[in-house]
Amino acid sequence: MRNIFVIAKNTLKLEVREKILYGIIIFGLLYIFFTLFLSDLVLKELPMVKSFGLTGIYFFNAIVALFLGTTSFFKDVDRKVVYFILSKPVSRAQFVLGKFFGLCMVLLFASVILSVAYIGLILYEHGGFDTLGLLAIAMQFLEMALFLAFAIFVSTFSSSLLSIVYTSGVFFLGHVVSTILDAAKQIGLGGMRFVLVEILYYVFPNLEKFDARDLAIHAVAMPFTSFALAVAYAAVYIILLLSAAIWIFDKKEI
Amino acid sequence: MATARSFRFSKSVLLALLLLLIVFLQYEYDATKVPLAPSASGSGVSPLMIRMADLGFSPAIASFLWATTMPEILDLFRDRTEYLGDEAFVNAVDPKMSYPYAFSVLTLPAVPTKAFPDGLKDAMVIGNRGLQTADPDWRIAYYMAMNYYLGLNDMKDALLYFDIAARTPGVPQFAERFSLNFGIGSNQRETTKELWTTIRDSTNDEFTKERAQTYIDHLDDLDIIQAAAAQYKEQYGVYPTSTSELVAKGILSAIPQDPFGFTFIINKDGTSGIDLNKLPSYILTEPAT
Repeated sequence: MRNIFVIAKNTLKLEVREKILYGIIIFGLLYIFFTLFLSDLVLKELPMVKSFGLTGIYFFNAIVALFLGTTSFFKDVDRKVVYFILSKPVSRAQFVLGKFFGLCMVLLFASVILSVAYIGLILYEHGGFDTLGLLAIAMQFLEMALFLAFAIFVSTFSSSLLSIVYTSGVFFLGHVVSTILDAAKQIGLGGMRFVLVEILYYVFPNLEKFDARDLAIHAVAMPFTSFALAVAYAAVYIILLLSAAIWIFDKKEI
Repeated sequence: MATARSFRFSKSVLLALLLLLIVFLQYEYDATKVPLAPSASGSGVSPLMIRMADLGFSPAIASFLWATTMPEILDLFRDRTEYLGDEAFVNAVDPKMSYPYAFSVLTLPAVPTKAFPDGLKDAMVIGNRGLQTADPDWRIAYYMAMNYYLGLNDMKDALLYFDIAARTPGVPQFAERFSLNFGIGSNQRETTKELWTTIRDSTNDEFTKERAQTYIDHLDDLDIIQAAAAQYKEQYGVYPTSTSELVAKGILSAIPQDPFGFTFIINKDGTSGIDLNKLPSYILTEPAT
């Protein structure tokens, strides 16, 4: 456990020194500042202002997760850091888990900075303290953690460039699998092809369930059970991806 | 060797079990999912296509689109009708965003009739679409009621839509007070009462029937007080300054209890009305933002 914590802490230290991370965060902050101007364009209509802010946080967090998840693992292999760490009494499983938790902390760091700016924006626009907005950001964070786990999993067997392609693909497909299933039902797709679509729907990471932005923007009721199941889904999927990553990494010759 | 194989086997079983658990969680989640609001029909835009590409960004995309669509309302003065198509597009992207509906209901009827003859009709179509799909927003029903009354001279529908506005969560004080008391002036009261009676007697919906009866009771109370004030003048030569004088002089046994909780007053000309300084507590409570 201590080893995991030490690797996580070092990952955090290493990644927060990255200039590109600050670049993304600064762009995120600039966007939230720009939302002040956008809110004037929509006559300060609060649901619209919230939609701009929450989407901005989501978008920039996704960039941070994609950047961290697909590069951090490779950097350690490239810079031979992994040899140094694994020569100590540290297992490969501990290394993978340490990387994951460390990257989650970096993501949390970026999320907190952007969230503070967002809360400030909503307060400035007389929207009060946006508790539901924070809940939506927490759900976004969960989605990004799953996203990171997938990136680490892919990084264990493919190149950095392919990791970016696969992870971006998951991001896109994870949001459209529900629509694909609906479309298949609408056009009356049957037989084996429909079964394949169903397998895709149930097995592929379904990221739509982490979209609680409607809850914050439109006050659409989201049952507690939905929240609980979404959290459980993320936890189980992350365990699955990290287990698979550990398994592959264990077999890998380095 | 055998141990290593069994370890590998148990790992595979674990991964398969986790995958099964994921399928189960997805299945359970679907059972709790809140369905999306239906998209605007007849917009010429496939909501499926929009949702295919939106990656969960639809509220923000709709807001961005709205920022560019709103100024197009001015183009209607130049006989360019892109606004209508683009507004429907915004509704299709995020059917729950209420402001585009409210804005259209308010502004479309103001477009000069010659250049754009269907402004009022289109406003009502958009408004009804908003009432069915958007977040509860008192402005949609309130502006529609205004249009019915001022633009279409349709007092009956104006009353119904003012009632919807008054019942919408978050309605501000002034709008709720105005909506509940629309048509109570002594020169309009009889017509208003007749219309509510028609609504009550012609609907099969129990809630509307009950609601119409509440308005009729509200108007009856105002009539009772006005009649009592007239009787007071006959007896004492002047109108009473307050409703309590009617009870004190034995003209009324008690001041009627208003079903909406307003306090009645008697104006200088003997007509009855409501006291704007003593509003019911549920109206005085600030609406949630």
